Amino acid sequence: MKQKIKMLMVDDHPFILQAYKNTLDLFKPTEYEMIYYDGIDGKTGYEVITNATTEYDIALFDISIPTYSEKNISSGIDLAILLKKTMPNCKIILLTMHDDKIKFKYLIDNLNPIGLIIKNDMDFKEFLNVMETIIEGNKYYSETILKMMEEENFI
Amino acid sequence: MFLPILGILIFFSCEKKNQIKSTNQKLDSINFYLKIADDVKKPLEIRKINNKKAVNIVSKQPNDSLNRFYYFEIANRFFNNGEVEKFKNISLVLINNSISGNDSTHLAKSYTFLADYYSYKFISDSAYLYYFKAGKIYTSLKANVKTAQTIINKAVCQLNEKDYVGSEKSIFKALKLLNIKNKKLKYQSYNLLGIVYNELSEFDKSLEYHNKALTLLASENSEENMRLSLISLNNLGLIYQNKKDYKQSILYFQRALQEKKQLKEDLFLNAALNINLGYSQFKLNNLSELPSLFYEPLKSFEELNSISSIINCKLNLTEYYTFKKDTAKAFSFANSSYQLAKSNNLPKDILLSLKQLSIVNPKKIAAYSEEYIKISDSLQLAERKMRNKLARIEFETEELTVEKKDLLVQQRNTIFIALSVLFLLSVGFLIRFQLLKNKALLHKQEQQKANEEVYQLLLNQQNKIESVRQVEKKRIAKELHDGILGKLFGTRMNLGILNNEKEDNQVKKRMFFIEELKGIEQEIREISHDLSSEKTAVFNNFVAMVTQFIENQKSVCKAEIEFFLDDNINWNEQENMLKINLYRILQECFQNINKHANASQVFIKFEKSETTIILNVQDNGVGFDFIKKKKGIGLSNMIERTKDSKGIMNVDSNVGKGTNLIFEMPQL
Repeated sequence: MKQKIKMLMVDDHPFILQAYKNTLDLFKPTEYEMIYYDGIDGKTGYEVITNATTEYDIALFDISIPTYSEKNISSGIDLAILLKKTMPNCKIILLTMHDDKIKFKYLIDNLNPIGLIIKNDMDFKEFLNVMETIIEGNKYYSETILKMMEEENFI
Repeated sequence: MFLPILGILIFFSCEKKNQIKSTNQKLDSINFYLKIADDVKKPLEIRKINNKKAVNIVSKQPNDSLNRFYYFEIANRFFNNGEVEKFKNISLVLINNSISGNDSTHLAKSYTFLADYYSYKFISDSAYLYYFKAGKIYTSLKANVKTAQTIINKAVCQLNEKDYVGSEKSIFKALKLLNIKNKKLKYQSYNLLGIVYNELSEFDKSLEYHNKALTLLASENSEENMRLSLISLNNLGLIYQNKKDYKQSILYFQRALQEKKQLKEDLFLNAALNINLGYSQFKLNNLSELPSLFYEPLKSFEELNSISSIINCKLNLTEYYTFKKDTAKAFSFANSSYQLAKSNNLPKDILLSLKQLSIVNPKKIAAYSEEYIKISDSLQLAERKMRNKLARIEFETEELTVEKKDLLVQQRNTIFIALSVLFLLSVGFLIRFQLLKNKALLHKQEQQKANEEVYQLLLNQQNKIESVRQVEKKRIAKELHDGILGKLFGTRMNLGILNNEKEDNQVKKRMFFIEELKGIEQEIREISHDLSSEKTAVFNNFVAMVTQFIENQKSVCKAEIEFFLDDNINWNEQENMLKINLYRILQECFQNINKHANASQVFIKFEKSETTIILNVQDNGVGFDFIKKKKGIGLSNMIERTKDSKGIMNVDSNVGKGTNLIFEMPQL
């Protein structure tokens, strides 16, 4: 019996979402069966969290997404905060194109996500590695972020 | 008509009294000689010798006032003793001495003496000139009586030259200067007026003045007055004779002739009265006393050597013998008077003689007439010339002095006027200059302000554009970041998946990703294009400013606005001043269009030629007259700004025909 993993993904590029799915389909297909839930902006992300019928195992948010101002969702971070409240056991991964130090420090201090990834550090193989790391319950910070933390004596 | 011996009746100016009362030894000898020289009881030769002795002493004395006084006394004696040439010489000496002695009173008197000489010689123009000179000095000395005397003498000259009207005028001028005390001169004036009016055939006036003259004499019973009254009686008789009232004339002559004692001393007057009486008797056909009334005066005149009077007597005798039909005697007298007149060069007497000759000798009438006409013509001409000359003497000198005076006054006035005008002008100029300066300053300030406004506008536009640019930058960055990078990330991820897949039929999927990459290329190209187009369009604040302005005008202006701007103009390379000037000109144009043009269509065009930028503003409004309006502030601003940018402004406008303004500025 394969273990089912309920996976929530929010990215404004459907093309990227597709890439994630294609990649995840190839992650230990004999052990895990992936069930995908997704959103493409603040609004759909908000809805997929609040209208959830089941608890997600892993959530993957792109930080830069179109905002949903009615519910004060201006980024993937806001979705992560919302999700942490409703599903505190869900493992959250944040992805971004940005390499802004303050933002990461803020994120680590306040949200403490299990995964924090700069998209530039990532490729197909590394994504599989990310999945393995966090499923094992370990934190994954991508290369650039680790470097920055070292420089700033974050840890 | 026949008028005898008038001349003598008016000439008496030089007969002067001895004024000497002296003490000095040396002077006493002069006085002694002078006294003898003046003593009519002494023989003429003795008088002449004594006068000469006096001259010898006086000529050795220094030229002082007393010396000149003696010279005058000597001159008097020369004149009275008939030595007129010596009299003339002394007069000339006196003129020189008076001038060098700076003695104007005596100079005037010397001129009078010289004039008397010429008057005696019947050289009227010279006499007139010197009387005139003397009169001028007397006038400046305010010596009214002496002035009057010279004027009267001038009047005599004029009378002698038949300038009767001029003479009359002079006499009245003299009379104005005289008061009641100057009886002698008044008498002279009246007597002269009587003679003048007689010559003018105004006999009643003539009688009136002769009577007035006679009345003047009655107030004083002197010997001289007696003599003068006899002259007046003679003259009155002559007037009546002229009036052909011979009876009346005889009464006057006879009344005069009663003064036998007086007449004994005055041979000339006695003879004159007799001949005049005789002529009247002859005219009345009372021949009882004739011809002795002609012969006796003839003898007297011959004794006195008075040529004119002799001729008169002889002509009277000619008339008499013609009447008596004694042609031989008549001819003889006529001929002898003709000869006498001719030899003495007395043209008037020649004429009278010729007239008589033609009567007594009718055979030769043609020859006589011819000569008569010839002489008469030349005489008239000479008289006219002389009259003109007299008038000219006075006129010219007068004119000169008046001119001089006038010139001085005029000069002063001119200078004064010129100065005041100059002053006023300079004050006016200063005020105007200041006003203009203020105006120019204000104008400059306004222009400055306007320029600043445009600068501000440019600046604002710049800021606006800067912020727009910032936004655009952000937008593009976001586009790149979120769009392109995301897509690239996705593609990379997917391609990575494909590498992992074992199936060979993934070609279709690859094709899809290749297409996706093409899309990304396209997207990058578009962003790049956006960036480059911003350089020309968004970066260009002048164009934005003008465009903004036109947009604003579209909402304000009633007319439909068509705007064309040549994209090829490189505004960023142009000088700021050019842009400011063009912008301001455009503003002025729209102000005019909005205020005055009442146009329905406006066309604005910025274009470029090889070396210039051309702004063309056209409307179909009411138009205007450039010549009249060019001083208007709007147009003058345009002109100024065009000049400032070294451009050319072309105005094509007529009332009712719209306006086409073309501004062509050199570009960089």
